[in-house]
Amino acid sequence: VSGRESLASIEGVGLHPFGSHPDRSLGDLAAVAIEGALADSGREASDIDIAFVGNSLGGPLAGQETIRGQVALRSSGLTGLPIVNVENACASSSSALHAAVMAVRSGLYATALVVGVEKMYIGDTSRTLQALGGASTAGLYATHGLQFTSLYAMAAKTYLDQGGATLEDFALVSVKNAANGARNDVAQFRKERTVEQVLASRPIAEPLTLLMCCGIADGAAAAVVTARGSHDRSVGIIASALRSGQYRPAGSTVPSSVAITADVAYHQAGVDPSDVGVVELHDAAAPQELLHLEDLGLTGDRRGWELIRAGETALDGRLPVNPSGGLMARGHAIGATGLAQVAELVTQLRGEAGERQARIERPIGLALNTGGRTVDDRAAIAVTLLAR
Amino acid sequence: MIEALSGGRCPACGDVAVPYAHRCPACLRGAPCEPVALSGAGRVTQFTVLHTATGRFAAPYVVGFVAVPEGATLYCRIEGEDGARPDVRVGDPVRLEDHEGELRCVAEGAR
Repeated sequence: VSGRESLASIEGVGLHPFGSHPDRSLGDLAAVAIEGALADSGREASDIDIAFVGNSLGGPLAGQETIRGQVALRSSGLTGLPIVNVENACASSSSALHAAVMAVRSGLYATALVVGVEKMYIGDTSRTLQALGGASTAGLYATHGLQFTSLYAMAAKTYLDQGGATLEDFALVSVKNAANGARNDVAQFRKERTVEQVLASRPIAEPLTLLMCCGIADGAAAAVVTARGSHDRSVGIIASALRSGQYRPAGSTVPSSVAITADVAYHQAGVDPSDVGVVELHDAAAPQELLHLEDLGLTGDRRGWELIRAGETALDGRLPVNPSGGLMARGHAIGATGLAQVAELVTQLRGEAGERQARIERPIGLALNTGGRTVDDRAAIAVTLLAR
Repeated sequence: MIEALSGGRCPACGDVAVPYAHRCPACLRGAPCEPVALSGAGRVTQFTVLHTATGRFAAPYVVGFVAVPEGATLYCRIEGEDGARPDVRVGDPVRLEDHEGELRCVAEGAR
């Protein structure tokens, strides 16, 4: 891994296609991703010493509380080994990856399996929204009807008011991610879109339209993690930063929690933002992609819109962003999303992404996965840096 | 007094956190914080209109961030005086009230 010391290595990754899979259980979804990760890593199921399973909504939506990992992994034949259930809203599986890095880095376990799995399609949007509301401080949904899109919409309005960016820039993000998703065989939405279609789609949270927002999805992702990769397709984890959102007194000038977490990651790896060559980030809504690029230090403040307008974040641009299609096109199966981002970066850094292979000028990938909402801030923020 | 309408003033740094926290989340030094009842006044700092109904609220409905003079900013669904959808603008005054044990945020001065 290019001379830089890694915290741990990813030996293999696997995915279950994101989308609507009403006939598949959490275990069915996980099994496909796990088989993929084992095959990709050249490992046997019997090699796994510990498993961390990220899931968020299995209680309200799949009818399985508190031991979802044990229940889901039985389908993959995995019993007996330690299985740790990790729940951290939309950052559940990046949190599970963080725990796996600690497990193999400590030397206590040699080979860890990380799984992210989620089922959100139950044929009742209102119930899914209610379950998603559970990712916020109790009361925000029940009393105030909190929907995450409202947070993105208000941030977008503020961003527009600052000048420079336009609604068309948000639409350009949707168009780029739809184009990438169209080339990804595990993506939920595989249809190219135009700026006009994005702007004309129905309003969700003003000023955001339907095609500026991610949907819901069923899906799974898995990875095999060891302290040192056993083969030359292994990809190094050079940083794994996990934080929670924080309280800010009135008038506070403390940077955003994304910026703080990214700084922790850059410091862990000993790299600068300018070393990053490919990004998967949390585009739960199109404007978030622009805001995140700024918070991650990948462009200047209030300059995110310039990157999308100039095509710099396209597959052949200077800094490809969301080559998988992102949350908007690959899909957002919330407990699986963080690990799906990491799986995409592994594939991209190996140069194995086929039709959607990005032109990567610097062999470091960054994943940003955020989740949940407290009265103060986002609940969880994870930034993972990978290097080949 | 409902939780969302009460804050805590830090004995060390003086910051008021809403809702109440035992130890001050701003400086981590002051504990216990002194309970403070909010005046109920507030102003809209950001808002949006949601077009998807939830189990309880029919679409469209208005949500936003409301700054209170005590120093906090709260996420609230914003209602009109008669429960109708308000015509909200940034800077508009709102009234926070305890409605049968639940926080209600009402836009003042209907247009």
